[in-house]
Amino acid sequence: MSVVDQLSALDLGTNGQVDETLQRIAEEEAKVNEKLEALLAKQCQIESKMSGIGRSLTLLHTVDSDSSKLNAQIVNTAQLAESVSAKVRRLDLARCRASECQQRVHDLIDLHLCSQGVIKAIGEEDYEKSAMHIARFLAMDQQLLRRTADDVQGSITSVSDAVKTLEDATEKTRVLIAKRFDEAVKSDDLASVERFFKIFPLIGCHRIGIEKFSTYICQKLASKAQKELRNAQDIAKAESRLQLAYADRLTAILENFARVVEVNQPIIEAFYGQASASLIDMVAILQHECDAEVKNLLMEFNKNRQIQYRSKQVNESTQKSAAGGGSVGSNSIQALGHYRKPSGGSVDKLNPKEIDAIIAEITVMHARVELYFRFMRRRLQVHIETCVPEKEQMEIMERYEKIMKNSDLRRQMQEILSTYLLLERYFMEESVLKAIGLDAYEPGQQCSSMVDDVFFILRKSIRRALTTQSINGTCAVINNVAACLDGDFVAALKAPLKNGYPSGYIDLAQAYNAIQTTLQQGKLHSSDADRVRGNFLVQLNNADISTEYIETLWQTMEQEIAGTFPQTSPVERQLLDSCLTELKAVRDTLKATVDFGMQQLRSSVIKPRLNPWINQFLNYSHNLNEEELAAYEAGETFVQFFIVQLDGLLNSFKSSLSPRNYDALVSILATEVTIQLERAIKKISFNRLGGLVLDQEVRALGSYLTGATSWSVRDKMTRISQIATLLNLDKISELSEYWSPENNKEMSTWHLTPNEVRTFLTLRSDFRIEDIKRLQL
Amino acid sequence: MPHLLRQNLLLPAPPTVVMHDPRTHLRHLPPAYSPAQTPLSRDRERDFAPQVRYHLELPRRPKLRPCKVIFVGDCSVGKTAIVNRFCFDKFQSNYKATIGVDFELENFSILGHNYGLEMWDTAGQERFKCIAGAYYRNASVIVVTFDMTKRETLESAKKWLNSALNYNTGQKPLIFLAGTKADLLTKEEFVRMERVAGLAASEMQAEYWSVSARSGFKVTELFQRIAGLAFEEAIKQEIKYHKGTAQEKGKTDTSAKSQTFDLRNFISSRFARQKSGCAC
Repeated sequence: MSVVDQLSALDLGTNGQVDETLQRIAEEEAKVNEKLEALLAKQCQIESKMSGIGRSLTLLHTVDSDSSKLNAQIVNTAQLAESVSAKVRRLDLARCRASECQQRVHDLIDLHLCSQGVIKAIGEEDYEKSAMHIARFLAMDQQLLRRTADDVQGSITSVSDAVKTLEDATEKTRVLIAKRFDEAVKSDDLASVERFFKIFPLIGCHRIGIEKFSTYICQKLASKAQKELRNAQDIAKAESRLQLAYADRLTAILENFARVVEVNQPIIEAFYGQASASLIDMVAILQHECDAEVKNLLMEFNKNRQIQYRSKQVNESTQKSAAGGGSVGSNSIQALGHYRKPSGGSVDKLNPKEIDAIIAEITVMHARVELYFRFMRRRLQVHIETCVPEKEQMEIMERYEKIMKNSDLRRQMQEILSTYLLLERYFMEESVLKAIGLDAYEPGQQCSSMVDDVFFILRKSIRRALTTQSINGTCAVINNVAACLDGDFVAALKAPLKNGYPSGYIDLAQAYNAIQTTLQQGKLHSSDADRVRGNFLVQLNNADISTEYIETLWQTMEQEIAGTFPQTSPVERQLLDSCLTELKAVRDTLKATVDFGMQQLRSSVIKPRLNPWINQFLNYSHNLNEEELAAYEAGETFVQFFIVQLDGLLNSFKSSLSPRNYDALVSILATEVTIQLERAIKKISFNRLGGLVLDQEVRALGSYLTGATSWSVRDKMTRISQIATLLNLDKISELSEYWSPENNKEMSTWHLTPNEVRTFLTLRSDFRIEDIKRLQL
Repeated sequence: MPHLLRQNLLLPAPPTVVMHDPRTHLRHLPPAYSPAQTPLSRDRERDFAPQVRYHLELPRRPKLRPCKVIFVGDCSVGKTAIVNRFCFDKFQSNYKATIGVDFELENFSILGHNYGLEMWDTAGQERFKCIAGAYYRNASVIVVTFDMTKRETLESAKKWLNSALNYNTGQKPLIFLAGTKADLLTKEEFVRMERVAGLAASEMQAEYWSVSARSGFKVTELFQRIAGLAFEEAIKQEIKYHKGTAQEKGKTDTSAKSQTFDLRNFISSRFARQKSGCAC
């Protein structure tokens, strides 16, 4: 900004302002001067620095040239180093080739030695030696040898001759060894068989060796098995295990195969080590033979034990019984021992005892096979962990699983398991029916023999199913058990319950009817009715005990299953759980049966007997004055009479009912008493003293019923005791003390609605209706 | 500034989304394969019955046993394949025979209630008949399966159904007829086969479905339908049970009445006896 601009920009209107401006300008001038002087003072300093820079410039030039020289030198050195290392590399290559060459020379020398040795060894029939030579020859790179022969033009004949000799010798040895092996097999010379078996891997015939050896062993085992099978019965007789003859034979066969694998595994690992599939190859061949032998055995088994015939019988009888009736229960009990053919004639059924031994034998057979498969799997696992590279392990195990799954043995076991299930089911159902049919009651006991017998049979069946080692089979049997309980057993329990409890002439109408029928038929019925009555109670107890047993059965089976199958997959776990739940569902059916029986008792025993007793209550006036009260209390009160009657009723059941059923009966009785008593109370009127008497009576009744059982029946009495409390009030106004819960802690919540309270209060003849209506509830 | 921006972006809070698997989460009753070919829902509309919905609204949650579904049919018709398609959404074309039974559990959520479907995939081969038969008991649903490319498997479907029904004499199970391998048929063959199978289904009182495990055609729909119908049936059972217990009380009252009736009978008969006594 120029001075003129500054001047024009300033306000020069007044003198003072002009002065002020002047002063400012002067100040600025002084400042500028100061700055200029400072700059001038620095001038020499700057000049000296400039000259310094000029001098160092020349120095820098030399630095530049030096560094470029250095650069050139480094590049040079690098080039040198590179050429040196190239030489080293070439040297290395040369050394490699030299050693390769040496190897080839060695090979060539060995070749000559081998070719000479092999002929000599073959001539001397020293197969081990010749095989060693051939193994050495086979270890050489055949391609390389041929090229070597091409390379060495001069002595081409000698090298190619040697190769040719050896190749010929290999062929010859292979044929020879195979022939010798076959001869050894023919002459059954185990030592030489093993000797040649060990030679096979040396001449590069791993597969052939395994195959030949396995076939040899199979042959041996087959003849052995055949002989044993022929004598199966005799051997068993000698060992006095006739029942398990075929299971024992099967065990022997499987043991033989397992032993072969066990014995030969180390040999194979030592001699056939590099061919990882050797053992599995052997197992596959053995398995094939094993299938055939087991098949023979099972054919014999089926023939001798008449499996076909028996399963046909079982099938027929189950079909008949299925066709024969929708009403399973009573019908099948009657049909025990023999069933009626449609034509009318009866045919003897297959006796379950007869097939018991066969079932046991089948389970043993199945378990043995499971054991055998497990043994083989473990052997292979050990084998592959030590000898097989990691990545092939899975492959081999998968191959084994496939061999196992597709094997005939497996298939036959599935078939035999199916037979087992058929027979086991028949055995179980028939035995249960028999147990039901032979049901015997011993006086003094609460339940009859049937419950113990049936559950013993069922437990036996499940345990036996567990010994098959098959989860599927076990589950199937558990399902069958549930079906059997649900069907025959529950039906047998329910049949007498359905007929009802003959109430024993307390009810006059029934007594009259009974007498009339007696007169008509000319025979006395009372002992008959007693028997029916006893039977009713026994079956009721049976049902109750059965619920307990089924729980025990379920728990023990769960433990045993866990013990038998320690390693189960989640799916198998769910399968087992689901089947066990089925068993639990049967328990609910049984409980329903007990309830059903209890209802029968309630309608045919409790209700009709209570009725006249409660009616007695109406005969006692509850409008009493002091004298009447004294007289009443001196005489026999209602409650005394009532309790004596109840006690008589309960005592008649106490000894014959199981504790739980008895408790249930008391509970039903209590419910019924309170309902009927409440009805009776509504029919009469009370005054103050009458209310007092009622309250005493209800208390006495409550304490009696509570004492009669271990169950709590007190809550059933709550309503009636609250009614008694209402009728025992001094004044209506007292009610408020009882009504609101905060005033009265020990009183439980009211079971009566306000309307009901009013209704009951009107029963007191001395309470005024208006007061009752006025009540705030 | 940038953090402020980020805050602004975050401001609309992410809605709390609970991921429901639409496969097993039902709010409505899935429709039938074809409305004409179902005996199971003639009386109902396209959705759960109103009393079922009402019952589910009650505070007391019903205790439901898992539903047992059994698959039966000739061997290699594809029972395992459709179960695997639904449970694991995978398909294997190489045939592997089922040994005895296979078992899968799938949990459904229907109208907010958990409902388990136990699938019992039985073996079709003859030699497993005894094992498989032992599992037929107490089934809520029977799915009879046949191969749409093989007529004879449809013929034997009836036999399978009968043998399964033999074990279920109590509660009548729901029956489905499922034709598998629908993808292997041409359009005309498919239409023809469906007509034949539809007739067979109505004869069996079954609901008909054509499915394909390879392409997944209608597999999920079939299982949803099974779950929906079985669930409705279970709830109806429970409603009936509650009514039954209510009626039981009524019944005890009537039995009391019959008792009084007996008494009256007695009185009249006593007179009769007195008369006869006079005659003596």
